[in-house]
Amino acid sequence: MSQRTSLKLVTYNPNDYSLGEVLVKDTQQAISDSSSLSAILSLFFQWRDRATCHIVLEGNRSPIPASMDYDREDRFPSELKLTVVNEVPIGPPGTHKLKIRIELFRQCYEFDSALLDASVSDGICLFIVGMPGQILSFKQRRLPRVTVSVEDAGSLPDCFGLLGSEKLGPLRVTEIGTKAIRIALKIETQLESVILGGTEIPVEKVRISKGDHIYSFKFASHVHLGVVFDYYRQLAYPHIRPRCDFTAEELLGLYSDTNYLGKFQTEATASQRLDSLKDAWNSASQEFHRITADYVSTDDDNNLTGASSASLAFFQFAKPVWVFHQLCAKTLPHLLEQSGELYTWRADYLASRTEDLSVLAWFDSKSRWLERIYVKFAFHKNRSAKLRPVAVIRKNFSPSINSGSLPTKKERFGNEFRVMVDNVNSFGGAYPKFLNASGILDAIVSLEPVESESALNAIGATLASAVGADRLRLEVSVPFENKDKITGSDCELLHDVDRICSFDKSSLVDFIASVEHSIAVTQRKKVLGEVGDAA
Amino acid sequence: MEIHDRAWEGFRILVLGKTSLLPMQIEQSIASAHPDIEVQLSSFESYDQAFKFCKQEGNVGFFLITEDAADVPFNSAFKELAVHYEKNGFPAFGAILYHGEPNAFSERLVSKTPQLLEYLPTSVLLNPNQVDMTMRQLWQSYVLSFEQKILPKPLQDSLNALAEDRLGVESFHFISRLTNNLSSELNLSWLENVALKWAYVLEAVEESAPAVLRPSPHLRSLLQLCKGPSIGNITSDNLGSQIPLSKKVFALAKELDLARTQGKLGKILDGAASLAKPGAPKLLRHLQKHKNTILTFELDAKNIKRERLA
Repeated sequence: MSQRTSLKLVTYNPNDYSLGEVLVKDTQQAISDSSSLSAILSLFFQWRDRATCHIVLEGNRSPIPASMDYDREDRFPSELKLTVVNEVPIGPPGTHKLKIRIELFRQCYEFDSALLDASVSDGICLFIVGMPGQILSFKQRRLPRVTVSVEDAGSLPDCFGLLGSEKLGPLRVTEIGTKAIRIALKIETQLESVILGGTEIPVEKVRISKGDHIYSFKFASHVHLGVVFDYYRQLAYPHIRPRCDFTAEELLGLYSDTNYLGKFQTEATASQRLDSLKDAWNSASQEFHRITADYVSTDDDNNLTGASSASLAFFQFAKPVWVFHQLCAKTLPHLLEQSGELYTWRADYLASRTEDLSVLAWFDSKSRWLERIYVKFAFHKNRSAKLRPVAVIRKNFSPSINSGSLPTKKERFGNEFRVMVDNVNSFGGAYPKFLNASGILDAIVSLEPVESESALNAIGATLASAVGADRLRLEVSVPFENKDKITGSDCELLHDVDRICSFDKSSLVDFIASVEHSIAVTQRKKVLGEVGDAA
Repeated sequence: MEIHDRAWEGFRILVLGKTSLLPMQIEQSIASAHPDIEVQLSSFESYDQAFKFCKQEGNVGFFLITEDAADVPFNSAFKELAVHYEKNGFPAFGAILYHGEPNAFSERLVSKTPQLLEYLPTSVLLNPNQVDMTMRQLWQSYVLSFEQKILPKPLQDSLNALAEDRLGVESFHFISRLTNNLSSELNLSWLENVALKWAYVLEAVEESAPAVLRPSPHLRSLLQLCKGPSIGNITSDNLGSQIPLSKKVFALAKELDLARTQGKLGKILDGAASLAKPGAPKLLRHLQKHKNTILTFELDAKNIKRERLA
């Protein structure tokens, strides 16, 4: 059986500049039962092309990249074969154990194995080791980071350093993540800020590694996050671009082509909708990175292939709730990786934000690819995430005498406001009307079983009153078993979405891992029909 | 530690159930224990979606269906889904799953449908401590049921009689035990497993009474999976060659039987053992590990012959 061990100190690694981000809380397990060991190694051998393997030597030496395999004819493997290019200083067989580290889908596994044999031929070292009796499993808690090549740097904004009033640069950025930047600096200095694309961003020196200076960002505003994320995503998500780079007509064409709007019933005609969407997207672009982020994906010819958004849509227990929404993608096999980027950038982005937050996502379980991502995430990679079947019911609400009893929060969206109500286990929000192109963010959500409709009605009435509507149509999401609790002659059960998933900011890395793993599986399945859209 | 990643090779496995989230939970629970078959797994809550998938893919050969998955009885649902795979000529199999308490009627219906192998609680596929064992048991049942389906007992008896006559009592029993022993630790698919079990019988029948196999394309294809060139000397290169495993094992069994008839079995096994160093091919290491067992097969075969003569 798997058993938890005590908290482990993170070993200092001079090549890892994100030490401060390595959280090991609740993420280390010692695994020794045969079935689990088999499953881990089987996972590695299934996805060797997406995994890394290193031999970790004692002392402070860097891990050595290795290739690991076993005799594929053996159903009960008794030994592993590790191949290393270049000679490795390891003693004679029988006297040593090798520490081996494998990483896959953002999970790291480490084990010791007895060295059974070692040989060298043509500069290739072959080690035969026994099977591990125990594997330590660690979750990677680091956010992704990317290398900036000289060629990449040419197409990215210049980076300057600020030291008092002195401006240094342009500087050579060698790596960037959303938390830190690595700069090749020839002089010993302590920058106070860096200037990326004309925006000054406070930084703090972390350390010097191999001659490069590593600084962590100290975001003072959402503008800083936006600038850094936009720099980083050009490398990490090369197919993703800001939505505002495209016209409303082009975007509407994408939503029509992917049948995103067709999935949702709406009263607006196409032309009315276009006008409304233009206004809404204009408003949203003014709040980019403050309370919403909207990106699209393009193919190599710069044609739109998909879009997705993340917006601050609710508050629950006074904590901001960001929603993954408005995802559409052309379902072509060669665009699968890009479709994945439409999911992962949002997780990456929200994990980079400085404030604490929760995440909420609705989806349609008929898309088995989405169901796979979320079940893998909520039941296997992160058990704190809540995934449940919901009923989504459209219902009209009117202001009532008691509506003033619930406090509201307002967030500016350009010339409009979003109004949000936080009522313990339920919460809601409304407007601007096309914050989501289909209007699905005018909504009330109850993640817990509903005792009576009154709490939801109070939210609806408060929202109707706050936005000055005589009749406000909202989409009410309740646990599926409570769908009969929502009553009224104008209630309409919607079938476009039937799952809801909510999770904390700390789970976002696991979410990215689930997306990456599911994409890998789907690519092998090559079943186009399983790639679908999300709400 | 077992990594049997070729066990379910060649077909897809489908999970079907009406309960929200349950089919994907089962799919992912199996995938977690057996990452090697994750790409073969698909799950659906809608019977129509599952039917469309089976029809489109045509290679869904194993089904895990909850007893309430469709509006029709589960055995009918199974037949409708399986028909697309069975067009290829091979039988499909499945298991029926229940939540909570088992239903006596369902249990009876499963027992009356030979291609439904088990009636299982969903918990055994959801519990991380049970799913691995459950899938291994289902695989064993699958292999056995497939064998019985394409080789019914009377046919097995007839083929065995013909083969024993052709090979002689000692060879027949020696190869039979040896191939079973060799197969037990190898990463063989369900089809290779059955093929290896019967290849020596089918080859003997093909030589002595070819007309017997002529109307049975399945049996001939089983034999073709194993027939190949001679293995030659028992060396690391020969046993580690890229020849398909089933052909290599079959050739090795025949080579060892030949050595037995020449009185050289012990010497050959000693030679193999001396080559079985760490990193040596699996078959060499197997011969070293099971040397004494293989030598008892030789003795047993002699004893059987002696008993027959007596």
